Amino acid sequence: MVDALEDRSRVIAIGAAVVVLIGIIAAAGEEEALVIGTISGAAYGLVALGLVLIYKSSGVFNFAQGEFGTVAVYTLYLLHFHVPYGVALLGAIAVATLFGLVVERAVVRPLFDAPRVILLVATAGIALLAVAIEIWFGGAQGKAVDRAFPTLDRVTVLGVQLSDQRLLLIALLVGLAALLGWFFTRTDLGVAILAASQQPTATELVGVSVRRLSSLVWALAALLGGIAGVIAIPEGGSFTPGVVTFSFLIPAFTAAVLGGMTSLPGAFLGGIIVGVVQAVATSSSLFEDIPGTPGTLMVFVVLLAVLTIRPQGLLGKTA
Amino acid sequence: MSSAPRSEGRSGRRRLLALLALLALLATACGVKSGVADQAVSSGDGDGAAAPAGGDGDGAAAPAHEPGPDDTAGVSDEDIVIGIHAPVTGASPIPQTSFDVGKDIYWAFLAEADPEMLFGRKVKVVFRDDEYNPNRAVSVCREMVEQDGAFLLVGGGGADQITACAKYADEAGVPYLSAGVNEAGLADLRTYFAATMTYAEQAPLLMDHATESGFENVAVVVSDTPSFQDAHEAISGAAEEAGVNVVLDTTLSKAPAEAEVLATVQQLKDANADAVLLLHSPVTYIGLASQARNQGFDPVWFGPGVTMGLNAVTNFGCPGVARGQFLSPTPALDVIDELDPDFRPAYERYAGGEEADDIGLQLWSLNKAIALMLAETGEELGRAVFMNTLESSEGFDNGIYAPIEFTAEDHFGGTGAHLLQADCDLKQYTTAEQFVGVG
Amino acid sequence: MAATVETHADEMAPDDHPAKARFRPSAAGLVGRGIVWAAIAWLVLVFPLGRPGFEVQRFSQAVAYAIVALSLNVLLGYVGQISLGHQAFVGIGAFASAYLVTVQGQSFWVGVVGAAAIGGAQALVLGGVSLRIRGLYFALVTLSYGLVAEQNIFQIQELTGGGQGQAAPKPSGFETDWRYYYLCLAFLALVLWIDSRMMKSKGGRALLALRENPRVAATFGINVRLFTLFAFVVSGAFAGLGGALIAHNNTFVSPEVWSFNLALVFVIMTVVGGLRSRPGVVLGGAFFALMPYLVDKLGWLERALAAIPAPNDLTPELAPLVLGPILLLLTLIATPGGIGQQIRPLQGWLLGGRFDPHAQGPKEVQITDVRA
Repeated sequence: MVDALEDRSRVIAIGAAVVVLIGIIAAAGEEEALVIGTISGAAYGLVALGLVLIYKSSGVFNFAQGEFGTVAVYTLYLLHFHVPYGVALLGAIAVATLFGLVVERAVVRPLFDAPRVILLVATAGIALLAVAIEIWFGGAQGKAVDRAFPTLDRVTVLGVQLSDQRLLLIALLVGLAALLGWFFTRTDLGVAILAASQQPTATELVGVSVRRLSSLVWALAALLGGIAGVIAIPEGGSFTPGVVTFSFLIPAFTAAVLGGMTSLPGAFLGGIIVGVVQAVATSSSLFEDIPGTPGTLMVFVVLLAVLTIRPQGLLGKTA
Repeated sequence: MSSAPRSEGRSGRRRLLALLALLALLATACGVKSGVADQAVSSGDGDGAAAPAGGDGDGAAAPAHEPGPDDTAGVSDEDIVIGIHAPVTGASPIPQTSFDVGKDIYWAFLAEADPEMLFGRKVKVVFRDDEYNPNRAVSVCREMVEQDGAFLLVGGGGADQITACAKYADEAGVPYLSAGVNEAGLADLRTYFAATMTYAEQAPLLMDHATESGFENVAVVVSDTPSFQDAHEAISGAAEEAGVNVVLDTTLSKAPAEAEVLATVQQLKDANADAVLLLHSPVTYIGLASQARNQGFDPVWFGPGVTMGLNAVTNFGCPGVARGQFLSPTPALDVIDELDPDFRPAYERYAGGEEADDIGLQLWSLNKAIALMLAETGEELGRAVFMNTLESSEGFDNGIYAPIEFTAEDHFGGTGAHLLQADCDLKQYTTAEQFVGVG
Repeated sequence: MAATVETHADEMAPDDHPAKARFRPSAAGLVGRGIVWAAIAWLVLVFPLGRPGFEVQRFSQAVAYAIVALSLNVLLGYVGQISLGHQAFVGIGAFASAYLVTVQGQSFWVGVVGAAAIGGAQALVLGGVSLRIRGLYFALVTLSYGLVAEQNIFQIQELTGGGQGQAAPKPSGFETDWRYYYLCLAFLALVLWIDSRMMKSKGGRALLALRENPRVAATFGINVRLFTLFAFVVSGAFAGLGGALIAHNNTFVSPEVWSFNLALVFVIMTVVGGLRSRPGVVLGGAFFALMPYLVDKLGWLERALAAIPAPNDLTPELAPLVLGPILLLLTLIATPGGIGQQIRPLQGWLLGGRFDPHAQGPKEVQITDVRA
């Protein structure tokens, strides 16, 4: 009871802080950064969903999450010459899911009981291998693929145009986050997954196959990653090997951690925060004198601040 | 058989082993001191250049190059070895097959068409991938000189890699040629020669173009790397001189995140720019142009460069890059038959079925220029006399580049460039204006 | 005759009998061990003499990477914290040394000491942070910090001397590639010595014990927190030293190479080397540094790789990108102890013990996890 009250007051405090910050940004004339932050943050959040999913169920930081997306985009590119776009889209997501299953079987399963850091390194190895194979087979050059919906100016917010694709991305993020949240709290399967992560022996005793659950979770995460890839990447013009890993994964991790590594709405919020910080740092003259890329430094500062003040992330629960 | 002597014996044995190892180390160290003194020093090998780097006072004429001990390395009666490095993997790579095929075409053509031009010698090309990494570039350049015996080195692309390798080449006394990129760090090198205009030299041309085209609000976006700084300053200076109205002058990081690209696009939009001068990588260009289009913002993108004018940009960047106009040392493929009728037939004959592409044209032109330089040097070929010839020559005109002119003080030899215009119907660049800035 | 009696007694004694513990190799065994030691010494000390300069430069790089692997091993293997931004420590050491030598006009030795000091100071700050933020979250902080180093710190003009990079000339007396290589080897020996002294000390043993049983560590009477910070400093100092050696080996430092990719390479080479095994991580670091060189040199390997059916050739430049992760995954899945585990039998044998194919090393690495 006390915990719930404490949590609620914390959430309110955070909400108030966010409103104040928005006010400051708007007053500084950088309100477009809010919109930009939200739309690029949505991409980060979508990737972060997969990260949170895997962390919640097996405590692993999945560094291969980005490559689920890149593999999907490459498949989309290869397929869309031969089949209608919609079919190519589905095919791409299917291939990504398959990739996730293969990863789970070949790498995660054997390392099931290994220390989490070993798994982190293993997933990083998978990501690097995927990128290397992309370069080897596809060439290091950039490629481009069209977006799914051609309308560019469906809605304009504060001077920033939002295309159909972007709106779809945001809608997907919200929808999927809600779906996953419902899944983990209301369905037997979801609860079982959470239970398996915390009490694997007890779960096995009850008759649930922990290993089967693992496959399911990774397939799901790969599915999410694939969706993130095929929706977010075509917006950016062209893509190169490892694009999702190099452009989205690290901000996505930051987003997930900021939000509290086990909170799905947290991933969304975290994504927006990272996006807004990057956007403000780039366009505001306050940060002009920072050598190099101001966005990187500011994201680091925010990360450090949040983790120091509230180590479980903004919306995470204390252990 | 008490325990004490036995454990002592074992640790004693260990100590003996350690002592032996130490003696071995000392022995080899002594060998090192005497033996290695005779072996070549790692850096500062031959003395191709007589003048110490930066030793001369300004204004004094640079002395001629003196032959060093390795003056004729890479030259035999039968062939001349040239070493090229370029990024084929890493960021901003060049297509591997285009490069593999293209680097030899001109020399195959020359060997048949005019074998006496190089006094009976054939040119052998060694190529290495520098992985878009300056340290690796130095490493492969050393390898090409010390192992493959290259007479001269050529930089295929990538400003930082070119600068790194050029520094090594200068210390080793090896002539080094590349397309023009930055000037900082290269201007004082005695063995470096830029065959085409540097970014800084292109700035006034670009600003003249801006005024002639009637651009009213020009924005400048430059990549945030320190090596582009001299170019950035030159651009700002040229803008002032030409009276161009610069509404926004900003930098964008080398590998920008999506939010940063969007934020920059927003800034450009807010500044109402109708033209954007962009000095960055092609990948970022495509990203910027694409996101700009998403926002309903469609300025003219223009700027200096070699890689910006490559067809890979139009291949993947259309329709965002439709209004792109970039300078390039070579014209687009649409006019090459007028300027050099040998190019396409050579590809048909020697390329084993590969089609002539713009990368091939870049290589062809550079090789052709080098051939002219080698020919003018004469039959007695050595590094020093080669470089002296470059400095004293009237110029080298291969018909594709603007004429190349070097002096002893000025190794930036570009005198003009071509203006390329993107054509998204053909998904290629076409030549808008030839030999801009010449004459 | 005495020798036979001894060995016979050893074999007959049960495993924990004192006689068994004092295994003594026979004369033939000693000779065998001596030959292997000599071969190793020849490979490390004499073989490079016959190679051209630019190859020896790569060997020096391998030695520097071995030092970096040892530094990461302190963090990852002993302390149990993962650093995904280790390239920042190494890079800062590189730039610090170059700056001190080129801009401040100090000697190489000042540069190296300065690099180690700055690396250590940086690590101290990060260590302080780690006391508050643990486990995988800490990993992310180091990752973010690595990016800040690459994109902000290494873009500071005074430090980097413009985009062409800061010059870092070799020290006088060691200008040739071969001499510099021996200098690097000397530094490696120093690092190994400090590392082993540190871990043999009470604090070191407490640190290792901490992971397996926190209560036992408390009984050591050591302030383990303080020693953890000390370990961080040592790790940072080693990394800074490695960075300085890399800088002067290449004679210039540029910002591009210090990317997140390099951080992954460092982690991979340390893990493949085998956590907590000094010879293992040394070999791991050297191997990863030399991989492109090896693929290039072994003609049969190059041909075999190019023969693999694919739209493009698997060039020597591309091969390490593909082979590295495959090796990593094989190591993790099949032999988590990495190279260190594989060579443990040999290691024991070379040090005068029996050749025991089932030699066990220290227990597996445990990283403190935080699951919120």
